[in-house]
Amino acid sequence: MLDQLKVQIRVVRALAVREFQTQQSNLEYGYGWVIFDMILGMAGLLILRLAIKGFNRPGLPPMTFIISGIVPWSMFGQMYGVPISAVQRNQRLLSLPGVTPLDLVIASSLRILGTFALLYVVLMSASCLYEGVPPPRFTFGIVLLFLSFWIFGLSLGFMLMALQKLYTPASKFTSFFLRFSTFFSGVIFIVTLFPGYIWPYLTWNPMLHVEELLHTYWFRAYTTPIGKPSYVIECMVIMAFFGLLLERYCRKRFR
Amino acid sequence: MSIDLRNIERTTVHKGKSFRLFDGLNLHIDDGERVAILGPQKSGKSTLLRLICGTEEPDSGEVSVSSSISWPIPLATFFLANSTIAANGRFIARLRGLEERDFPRQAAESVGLGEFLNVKLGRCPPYAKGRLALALGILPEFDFYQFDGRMLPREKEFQEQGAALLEERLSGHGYILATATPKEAEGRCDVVYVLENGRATGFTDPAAGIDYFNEHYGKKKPGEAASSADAGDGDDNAADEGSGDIDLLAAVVSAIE
Repeated sequence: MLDQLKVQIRVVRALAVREFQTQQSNLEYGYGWVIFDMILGMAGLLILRLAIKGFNRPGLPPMTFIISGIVPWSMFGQMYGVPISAVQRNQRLLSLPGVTPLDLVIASSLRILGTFALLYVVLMSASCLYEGVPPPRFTFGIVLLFLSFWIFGLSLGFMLMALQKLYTPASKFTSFFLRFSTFFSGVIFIVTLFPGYIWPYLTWNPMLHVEELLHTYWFRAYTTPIGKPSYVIECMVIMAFFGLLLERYCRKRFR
Repeated sequence: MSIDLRNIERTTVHKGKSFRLFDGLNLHIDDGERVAILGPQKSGKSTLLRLICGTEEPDSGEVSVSSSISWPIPLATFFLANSTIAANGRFIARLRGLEERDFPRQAAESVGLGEFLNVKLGRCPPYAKGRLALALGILPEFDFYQFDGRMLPREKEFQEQGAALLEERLSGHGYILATATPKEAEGRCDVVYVLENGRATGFTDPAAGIDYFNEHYGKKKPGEAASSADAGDGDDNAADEGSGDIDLLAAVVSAIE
């Protein structure tokens, strides 16, 4: 058992290093484009938020607020596509003994986690300096929440993979639903900007809890009225369990 | 240490049609044995190698392997043309837990590619891919080595060096050579299996096995290729990808001339 685990760690490490090396490697300045992509996406949202300035809560620095939520959300957005794309992209590596589809998924997700963690540190540091934001309230909590985006994204990805294998057009609906949920997950608008009577419906969404807690841990001027760490942990465990279960089912059923 | 396949059933889909590739196939290979698996095109040779090394599973039956087994050499599907020979070698070193700094150099030098170590594979001479696929497959330590199609790349200049490398690396190890070309197996194997009708017939006298294969499959009979199917047969060998097309092109050109 321990030997098998050692082999799997070795394989995942080899695949993860390869993932980092090949990211955008067909373009000149390869890895630099990752930052460019992110800045472009963020600029769009910043413009949107500045255009509807009236919805801003006083005391929250606009740029830092956007970056604090959008970078982990973007990672979540990329992560749920990983179980499908990583295997499709690296199908040929499965000819090597010891390499399994799950290894490919883990390696690819580690690449995304590493990239976004780096982006988060760089962009948040720059933004905090520029807007004069004081250090975060609870740094360790931020790290844990950042990791929870990774686990949520991957678990959701496994579920979506199963759904797509059973019903191919499902991707059309899921991508729309997930884009739509950006507006209701606390990425751009904090929950207090929504009327109170819809809170009971919004708070079913675990990602809203994660974003709300993230903003609370970052900014002294904001304390979430709804974010519950226990709810985040419960949802994460359940989703990870069902995600892995469905991955196993799909591997056996659609090999 | 041995390899044991019992009652293997395997169905495959080729051009939308379902074929029974293996129908109760049995195969036993002892430690250190040198085995040739002969079979006509699309008889399931490559699939059989993938079943043995565990990258594919049978529909039913049991694959029992108590030895470490290489991937089918010359596998080149993991190569990155945008990366250097050293970077491609380091990937295998990491995967197998080998020394990352020494292994790529050792691999490149063993097949005469030392001068291209830090050159992107896509910019290396055309023979580099085939040679590198051989080196990266044969240098890591395995109990058994698998060869799909042929043991050495086709280029004439490399035959002597390649044969010496094979002799050095394969001494004391078992290997499995799956091929449709009996000449490849001549003088290299202790046992020959002939794949036909979804089963493997064993010959402890290799010459008898080769004669049997030549007698039945030496000359292509009409409709022979369509009688059995293996969608993946030989398609993993990207190191030799397109070589058949090149041969065909050369034949067409010479015919026109």
